[in-house]
Amino acid sequence: MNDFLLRAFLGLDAVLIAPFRLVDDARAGFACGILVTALGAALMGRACAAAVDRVQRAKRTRQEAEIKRHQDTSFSALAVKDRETYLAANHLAQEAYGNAMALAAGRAAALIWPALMVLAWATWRFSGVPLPLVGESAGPAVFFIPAYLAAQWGLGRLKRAKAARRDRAGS
Amino acid sequence: MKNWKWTLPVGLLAIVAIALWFEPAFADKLSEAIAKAPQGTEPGQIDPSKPAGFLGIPGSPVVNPILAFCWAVWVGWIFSTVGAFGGVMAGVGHMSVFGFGTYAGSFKKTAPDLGKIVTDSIKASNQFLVGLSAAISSFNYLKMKRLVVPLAITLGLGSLLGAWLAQELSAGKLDFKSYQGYFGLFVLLLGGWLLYETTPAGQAKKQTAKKAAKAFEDAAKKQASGESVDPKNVGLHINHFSISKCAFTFYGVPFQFNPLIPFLGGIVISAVAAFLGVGGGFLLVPFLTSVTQLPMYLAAGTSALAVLVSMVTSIITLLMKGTPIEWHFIGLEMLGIAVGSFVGPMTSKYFSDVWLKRLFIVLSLYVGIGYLLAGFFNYKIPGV
Repeated sequence: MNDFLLRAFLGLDAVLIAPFRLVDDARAGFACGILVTALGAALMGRACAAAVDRVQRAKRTRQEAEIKRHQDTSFSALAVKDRETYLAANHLAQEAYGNAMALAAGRAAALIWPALMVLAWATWRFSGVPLPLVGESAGPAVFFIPAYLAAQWGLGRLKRAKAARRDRAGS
Repeated sequence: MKNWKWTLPVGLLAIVAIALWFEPAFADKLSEAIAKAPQGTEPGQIDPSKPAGFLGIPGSPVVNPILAFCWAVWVGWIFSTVGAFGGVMAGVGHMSVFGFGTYAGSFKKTAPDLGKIVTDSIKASNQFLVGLSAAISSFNYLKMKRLVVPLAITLGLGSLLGAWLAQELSAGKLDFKSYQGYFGLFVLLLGGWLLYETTPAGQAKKQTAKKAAKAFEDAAKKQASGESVDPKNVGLHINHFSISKCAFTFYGVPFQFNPLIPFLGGIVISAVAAFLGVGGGFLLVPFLTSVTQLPMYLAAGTSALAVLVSMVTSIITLLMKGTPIEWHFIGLEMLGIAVGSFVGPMTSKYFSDVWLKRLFIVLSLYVGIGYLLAGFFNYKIPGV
């Protein structure tokens, strides 16, 4: 079992280090590696979150519908100044929200685990290595986290643009 | 403030990045604590001939990654199936299943500094695992802009102060036994509360709420349109905000609360969450809906900001205090939670929600009592 884990780790190491060696220049190679691994982690995270979301869909839809039903009831109660019903419906909506949040936390875990793994790997791989611009005063997280956030932001924009195009084509 | 939904989270994350920048400067703290610990083969001593395990300490527990992954699948499965107990099970894993707790506790007399660093790391691991997921998942509610800004600011300031105070006062000072005792007390209270909810008295409140809502829905259906709503009353309108009073109308119905209450609530909830290493969102939303009577529609978004602020403050304070974190371990556990959340909805139809909840209530009472006794009275019960 230990051999299997070691082989799996070495295989992963070979894949993750490859983009850092795409360019001969060390600084450019480091930048390239950080950007590619950040994009890869963001893509993989989104794919995993989408898979979890797909499996959760029925339950999530049910719970979100319940939240919405109680919220609508509470708004209607407010509209006719029925404070007691408002508080009752609000309490029920809060319970349903707790369950929906538990599902959302699962999707969040699916979204960020690749980034944490890459971060852990990069911290180990570049331990004691002076990095561009910061030397040994900082770890690779300083470069990886902004790159990862930028990748997530960019992918989010792409997804929204794609959805908008699809909507326009459909209408 | 126009683009606050971007500037705020990006700003907070930038602060985390800056904190990470300084992280290596604090890495020596663990090395110093290891160097100060007595060497030998007895419990509470460092055996340099043994392989490095948790936090790279020679002789510390070496957790099989498959066990860590499987336990995290269990955590994710419970959380997605029952909607609770995720944080408790994550804590049980770190403290009992992986053996970090016993290891940290063994240094109480021989190397207290090292014991406290390991305890902080366990606490931080719990918080990253549970709090980070909660913060990210609640971020969507924040993006929907469903928040009462004055309330979000007071709650956020309270959360910032609470999280900072808890980490500042406890990081590097809390030995494992005390942490275990307080964690046990929290689990016991949680189990007690959930048990109360299953009793006739607890159920009666829920049934009354359901009946009131149902009666209203039925009446609304009969009236078809009912009373018309004045368009100017739709949504939230802040009418007055001062240090002692926030008055607003929602759908024309007046509400008011003292802003000091959410501020103090934010301090207490965030401090408890940061001290125990659990997410605070599950406490903030009921707090907002019961104390300020804020509609759920707005409570979720408003609490999301406070959760995010609290989480970022905790991360920064822990990193600045030099608390070592096993990122690969957290990443592996996150993967397990994701898999558990994937499997949960597929298997939930085979289990009764009510019976699962009862099972976990019994489990949390047992774990809570066990940790409480072990932490505060040094009395161990089997399996904990």
